[in-house]
Amino acid sequence: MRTMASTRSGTTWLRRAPALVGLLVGAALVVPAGSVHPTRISLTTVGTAKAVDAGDGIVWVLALGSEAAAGDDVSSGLTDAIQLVGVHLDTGRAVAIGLPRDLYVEMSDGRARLNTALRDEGPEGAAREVDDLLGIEPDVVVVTGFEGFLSMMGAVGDVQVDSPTAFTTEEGGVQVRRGRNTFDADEALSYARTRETLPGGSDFERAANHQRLLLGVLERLRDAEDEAGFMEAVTLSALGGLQTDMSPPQVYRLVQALTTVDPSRTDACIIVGTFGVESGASIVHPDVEQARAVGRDAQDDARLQGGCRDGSG
Amino acid sequence: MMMAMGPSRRRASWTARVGAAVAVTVLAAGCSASSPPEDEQPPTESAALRVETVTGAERLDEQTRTEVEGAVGDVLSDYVLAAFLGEFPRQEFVQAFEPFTSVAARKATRDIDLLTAATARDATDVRATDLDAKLSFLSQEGEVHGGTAKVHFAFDATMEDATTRPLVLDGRLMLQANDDGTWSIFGYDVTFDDGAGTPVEAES
Repeated sequence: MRTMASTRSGTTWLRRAPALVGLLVGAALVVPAGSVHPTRISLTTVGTAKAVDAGDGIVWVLALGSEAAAGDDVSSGLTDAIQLVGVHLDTGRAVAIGLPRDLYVEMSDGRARLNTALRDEGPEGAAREVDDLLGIEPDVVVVTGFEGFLSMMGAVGDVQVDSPTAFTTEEGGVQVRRGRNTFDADEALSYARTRETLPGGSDFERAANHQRLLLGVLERLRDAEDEAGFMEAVTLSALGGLQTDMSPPQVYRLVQALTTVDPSRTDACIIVGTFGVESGASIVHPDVEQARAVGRDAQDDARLQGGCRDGSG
Repeated sequence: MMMAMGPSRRRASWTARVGAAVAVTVLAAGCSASSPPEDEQPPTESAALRVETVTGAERLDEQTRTEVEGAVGDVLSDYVLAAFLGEFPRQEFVQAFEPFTSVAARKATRDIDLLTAATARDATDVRATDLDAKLSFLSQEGEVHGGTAKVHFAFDATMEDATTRPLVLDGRLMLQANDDGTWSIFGYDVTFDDGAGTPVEAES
């Protein structure tokens, strides 16, 4: 045990933060008709503050979901989930830009589907392809496989996902209903993998579902962040379930920073294109104009003030 | 693990302190065996900081656990001292953010009214009444990378008119282990009640 006190002095003074008393004052002034006894009450001034240092400005995370078989290096698999997520560390805003796996892009040794970039060119190559398309260079690349996904979702716990349509997942037979659904880790994986039984059967819909799942995870993180050890358990699962060159402290700071994002202040967009066939395989010729415009719009503030520009209005 | 906060600051080695604390110690002189006469002003000694690990240290050996608790305790006590205790009245509070990372410190200056006793700067004295920190560590393979301190810091500020204002800070402070063995605060998520009651007259 020790005794301490500070002897600080100085003149710095910063502005006063706004106080949240208006609502309480208003409530206090609502009194029953005919009341005549004056009462003097005192309302305390309570405020909240939240900030996390995970860098400055916007951190761009390229999140890749690999189909590599259990036990294999996740980098050896094709990526069916490709999302570029921008988290603005000062404003609490975030944007997710989904890139369908079949986007046909120019790679170092010729044109190929985007989902081969990780396998053939590694994380740096995948980041380069995304940069070429959107004009945004990812700061971080994280890759997960099925096992890693299940591990992380197990640590996160059940998530709630809003679905605009009802469908049954291809595997697991999960009945997804229109509106709010609650998924455990296995159900979340079935939901994320499903494409063929979606109403349009398209990868665009699946990429949108990935974004809905990300939003559900964000809401869950914010709901549970005060539970002792929760954020540490999630980080630990991420360290085991993600392949990344981030150090453990960097991962921890990023996970903590995610909860500064307000789910109601997020934007999402899928890069669209026209269907085609190349060497017998389905491909999507990306709408390069849309991709560039979306990238330009989002890169400075993690917002899409001009919308998704995908023709959906 | 406990440490007391009082009127004279002195850094002490954590190696002399061991174990996790389980009780609050309020070192009010009036509670001691040698109570001062009633007409004397009792010393304004403060509550001890209680630091307790609740999760994440299961696989740490006792020495490592004691070291990280001590290091985090140092950071928290430095922050509490500079943010809420010391000489009053005063105008300077930004030194409270010295244990913060640079970006976190910059953001904290914008929230200084919610992270320090700046709104009670005219007080003649501030005393800690309850200082509690529950730690959750992120440890992997015996190495501790960071942790969260869930804190409840309560103070009584004596104002110029001799009234007392309670100040209460609740929430989380996020910490990282630095390469040199020290720790820094890289984030905060807190609620602060500055006890500045707004008088409202109503009829009942």
